[in-house]
Amino acid sequence: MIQPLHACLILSSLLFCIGLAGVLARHNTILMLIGVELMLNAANVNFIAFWRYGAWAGQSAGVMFAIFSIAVAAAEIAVGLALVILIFRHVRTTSIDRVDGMKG
Amino acid sequence: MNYGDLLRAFSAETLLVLFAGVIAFADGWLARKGRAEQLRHQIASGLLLLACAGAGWSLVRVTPPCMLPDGMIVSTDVGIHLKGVILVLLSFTGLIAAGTVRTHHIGEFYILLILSAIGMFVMLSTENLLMAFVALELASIALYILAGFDKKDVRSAEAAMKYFLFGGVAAAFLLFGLSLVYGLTGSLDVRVVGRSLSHMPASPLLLTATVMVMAGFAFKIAAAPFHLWAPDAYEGAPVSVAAFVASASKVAGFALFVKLLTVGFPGTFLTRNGLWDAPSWMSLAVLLSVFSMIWGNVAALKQKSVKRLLAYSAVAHAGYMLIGVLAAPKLGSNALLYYAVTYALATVGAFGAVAAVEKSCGSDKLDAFAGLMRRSPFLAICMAAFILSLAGIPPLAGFFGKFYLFAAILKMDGSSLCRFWLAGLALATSCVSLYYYLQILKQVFVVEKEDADTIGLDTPLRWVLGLAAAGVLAAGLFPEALLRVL
Repeated sequence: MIQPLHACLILSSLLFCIGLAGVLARHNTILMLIGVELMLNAANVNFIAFWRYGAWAGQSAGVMFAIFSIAVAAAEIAVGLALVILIFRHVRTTSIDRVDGMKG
Repeated sequence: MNYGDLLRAFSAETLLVLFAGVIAFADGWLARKGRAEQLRHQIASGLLLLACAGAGWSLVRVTPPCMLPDGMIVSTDVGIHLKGVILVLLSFTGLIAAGTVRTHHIGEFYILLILSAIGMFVMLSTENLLMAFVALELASIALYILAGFDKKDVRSAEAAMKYFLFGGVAAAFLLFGLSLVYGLTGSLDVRVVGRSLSHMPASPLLLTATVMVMAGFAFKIAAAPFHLWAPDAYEGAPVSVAAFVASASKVAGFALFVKLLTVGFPGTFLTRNGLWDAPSWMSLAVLLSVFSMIWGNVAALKQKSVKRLLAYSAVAHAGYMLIGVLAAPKLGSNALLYYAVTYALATVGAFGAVAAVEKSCGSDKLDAFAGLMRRSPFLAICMAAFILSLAGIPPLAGFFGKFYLFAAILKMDGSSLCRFWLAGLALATSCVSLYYYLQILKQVFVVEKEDADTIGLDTPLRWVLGLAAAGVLAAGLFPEALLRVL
């Protein structure tokens, strides 16, 4: 029988990898943002899992960190979407392939 | 501790926030009156200077030594001095921006600069993982927006997007690593984390956490191979923003980085059988340093855009500074901080010079600097001071910075870090870097240009260049004065 902490850690590692693969493989900036969000939330799953099942269960620090990081992630995604709109105004697409003016 | 003490401890940050509000109201009022943008720039940057002066005064006079529980805020003398450095860099950035940023949202620009500086302030005074993460994000998110501030230029948008995506992934890596550290130790206080990790045998979880935290930091300080955002962000962003990213965020980032690593992570992990030392953050830092020194210096050789060249040289300098991070657990971090501060001064000045040239020629390519000595002697001499300091030529500050760093790594005992190889590689790559730095100076002093028109400098920019050059020279002539306070 797998322990709940281990199950949570496996879940969060999977989420993190899926998010990273999304950021690396996708060409659409909105889908890349979703990837970043998945990676951040994988860490939140970790915090909650360690708070609930870990060796130091019950200390509120884990929940606090999760709440703060949700707020930070929300701010980050708001900025990200604003940047997507900024790019869209210039090149009329959300694909990152069209935004490669600088090289070298 | 009561709320009055808390307010006094945060007086500098509070003053900065208050001035951000004042800038918002003043600029909004002027915009509604339909005043000229130049006037709005002057008033907003004047208020920014006033804010910096007020915050500096409160750092000196009001702030008491302060300790909050869990290491949330731990104010130290070094932290306060570095906050002063951030304030200087912030005011320089504001003055560069006053003449160069093209935007209708003038107040917002300066407000975001101030918010980013507040994030850096908290980075400098916290020893708590949660506060460190939130402060790092406060500083970074404001910088993402600032990088995209030139809405008419598609390159600015591209720079902001790349900076944002890399920064977001870095934040996720760092957060995931911190969550594992929390799971292993049950605490967010860096000192408690350090105490429990040093008694803990190396486990896969601990190594994963170390690697992820290091990867997150390497993104933030633009160490190779995680530096890919830096050249594009420096080239596309408004020059003043690039100056702030290259200088202030480097100083604050390295100060936080070295604090977390030396206090929170032991230099070597125990293994279960105790027979060998498990690799820890030190081996990773050696790898990052070697990659950055080689990659940064070699890639800078073929750059034609001076901003890109400075970006790759920033990668190389991150490599040198990582050597200082390696030496910090044994010998203290003042060699690293001296290097970071003097590097920041030289960089902010160099970007200021690029801003002046770009404003008059519309280009930051190497040949735009041709005949600069004839076109503006003051600008040319200041540029020479910055570039020679970056290259590490005595008597400028960059030379002593490199000297202290390399001496620090050689002073360390133990051969496990291949310290001789590291110091030798650093020396060799600094010689390589002379080529591209002198390439700029060749354009400035040797190459002639026929239709050379003089470059007019506006007064704020002239002050920034003069003060930064004087600072670089003074820090090189009297290095002890700066080393003593760091």
